[in-house]
Amino acid sequence: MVTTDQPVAPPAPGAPQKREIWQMPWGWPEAVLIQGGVLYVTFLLQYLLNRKTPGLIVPFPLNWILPGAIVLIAITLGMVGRRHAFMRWLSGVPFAVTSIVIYTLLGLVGILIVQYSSDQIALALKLYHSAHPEMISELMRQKLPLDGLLDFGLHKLFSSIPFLVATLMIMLNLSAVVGRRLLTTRPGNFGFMLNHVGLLLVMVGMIAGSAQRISGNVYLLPNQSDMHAYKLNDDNKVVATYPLGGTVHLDNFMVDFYPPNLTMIDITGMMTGHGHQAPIIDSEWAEKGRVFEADGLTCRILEYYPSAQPPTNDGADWQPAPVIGTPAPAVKVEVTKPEGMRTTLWVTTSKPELTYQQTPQGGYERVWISRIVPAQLDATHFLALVYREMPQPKAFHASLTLTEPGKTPVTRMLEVNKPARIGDWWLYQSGYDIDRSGELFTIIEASKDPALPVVYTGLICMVLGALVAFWFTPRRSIAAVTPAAETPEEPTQPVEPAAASDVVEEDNAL
Amino acid sequence: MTPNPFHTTGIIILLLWGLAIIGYIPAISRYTRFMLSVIPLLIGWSLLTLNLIDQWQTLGHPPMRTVNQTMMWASFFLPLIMLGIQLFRKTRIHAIPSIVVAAGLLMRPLLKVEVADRMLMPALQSPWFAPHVLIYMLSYGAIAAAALLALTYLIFSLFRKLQADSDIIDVTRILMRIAYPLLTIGMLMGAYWAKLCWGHYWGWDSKETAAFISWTSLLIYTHLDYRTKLSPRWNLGLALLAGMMILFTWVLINYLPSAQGSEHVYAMQ
Repeated sequence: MVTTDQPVAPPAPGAPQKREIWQMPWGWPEAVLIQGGVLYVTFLLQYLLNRKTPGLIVPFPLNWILPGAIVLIAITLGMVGRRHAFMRWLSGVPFAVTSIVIYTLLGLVGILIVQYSSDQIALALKLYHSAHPEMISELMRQKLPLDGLLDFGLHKLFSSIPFLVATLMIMLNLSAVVGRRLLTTRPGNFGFMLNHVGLLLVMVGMIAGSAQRISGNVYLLPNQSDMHAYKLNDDNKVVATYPLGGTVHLDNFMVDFYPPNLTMIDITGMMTGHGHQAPIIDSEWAEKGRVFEADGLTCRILEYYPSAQPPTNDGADWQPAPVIGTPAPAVKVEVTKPEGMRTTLWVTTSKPELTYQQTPQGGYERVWISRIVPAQLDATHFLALVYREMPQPKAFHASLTLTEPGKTPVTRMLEVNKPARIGDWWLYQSGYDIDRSGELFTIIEASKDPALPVVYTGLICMVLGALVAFWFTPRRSIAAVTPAAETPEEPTQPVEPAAASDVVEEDNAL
Repeated sequence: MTPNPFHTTGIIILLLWGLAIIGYIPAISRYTRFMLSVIPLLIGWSLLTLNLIDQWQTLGHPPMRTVNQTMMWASFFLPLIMLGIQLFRKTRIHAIPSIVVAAGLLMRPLLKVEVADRMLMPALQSPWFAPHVLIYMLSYGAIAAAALLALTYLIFSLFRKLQADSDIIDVTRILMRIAYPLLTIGMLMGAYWAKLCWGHYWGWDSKETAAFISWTSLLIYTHLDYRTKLSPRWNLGLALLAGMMILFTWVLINYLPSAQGSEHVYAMQ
């Protein structure tokens, strides 16, 4: 046993010396300490700035200059200083994995804590710092705790300084390793570059785009036009107007609804006082030709109209009618009773109405009301058309005429998943709503993102890189190569065979 | 109570796969092993396939909307991955954990009845819907198998030292290396689809963020496995961590308050 009185024996010749922290070459401890320290400082900065800003937006042209400069400088240093110990560390696995871990932890925080939009936080901050903080509504106090977490930007994490800096650290590592490997010509480098350059491009595009991406909505009734998109805040007030550089005219807007359910109800329980809800025996989609049987009754749907108007004479059939706003469907049902008797009847439902109800907090909220109109089959059995909550859209599309200055107007059918374009703007069929007169209007989202080509290029590179990685997977990793082997086992389809200039993290074992 | 349409089929599949597990016990002879393991496995898998096809026809759209349906798809892919590795790598070390995971994934569809909904919201009526979900379920299945394999042998390693070049590490690595590119492609496919549908490719929505950190957990594994001398315990531990992240993204996130406003709410049942 060695004590302090005895001289310490010198290390045996050839034995590895233990590296002190901050002694080159750097490794895991330095990566963790440096990146952890940077993160700590950024949270402090966020705390200091948070009372003044709801979220960090890198303004134009800094949104391009900042990531672009980091990328170019790091790639250049990686190329020029590829054998330097510091660049090897900056482009190495310890730095990479540490930055990925930090990114992952921040993402986890962003999931565990509810994130809010800039508008909500801006309003809360404005009221909080105003002369009358008591004007913050109880609802907002419950939704948005104004102390503690908000001070460090955790409610707006993905627009915060720590998150931006974490992104830049990953970009630094990616750029450095791309620079170091840029002049490498072996085949395995191709997949490597696709993956890393792709991710780099996506990150550059996201930072650049976050400052310049604009989106707003266009609200149109049929035969209406507009040349602008509007950004609304949470109180539905217009806070920004964006010219589209052309005119969007809504020729026609159609919504195709899923049918309601034709439902058989047994009111026996209600009649005998057992329970207050009539139990549903069976239910089937109200489509022509569908059949269901329950309690000895067979119901066959002979006709279904998504929207119908009542007959003018008793005993006549309902007639199909165009849908205006929400549908008022009707079905013709043939019911066969156990004794063989058949009867035919029409089942309808009231047209769902949109109305406003007062909330306990004193505001108003919109609710749908649809009244069931049951059709009696016998003493205890009724049929009714029932929507689960409200009519569910199967598809909705807007027929648009898009006119740009100096160009021929074009007609486009705008549907969900099928956007259209006007100038630099992309138009998306976002949704629809009903105005107070009961008429449907379309909601079109218009957005513009100059960084999109960069992001798409990055996505394509990453997909190709993933495919290359899938096919050219090495058989063994470094850990599986035993020190006793004279030559390492060569992978059959190498992606990144070890090279003298390559970093093999032999002293970074875990 | 609403009857479970999957009840009978599910029980038969579980019984067949239970028999298949017995068939993979090493002491049994080769012929008996084949008859007891591969045959029941394939019969059970065929029944599951038929059930999925039936659902697709009945619903009129891909049965990939709910957690139950996605679990059935992951369970569909896992035997294929397992048999593929068995065939090409000549190892069965992963077989029992893989079958256990595949059977385990069927427990929720068996125990929790979900009413099959023929309605499919317009956002999901896209040619990207099925490929996006299928690629994800393929990768989730592989990661789940790797995670259970890792857990099993981490416990085993308490009693016996693991070698770095053992089949366990090898198969774990293969499963994770299958999963990583698939997860990447699935995620990027989702981003492109989101741009077509919602107008923006990435919104740091809670489900998207969870999918992202699942991907980064595989990124961590891939970097460390390939570029450092990862000890067996670390290798398996990271695979297990990746599996836990997948479980979080797939199921647990649906119960968090932050997910209630998610645009991916259609998957929550």
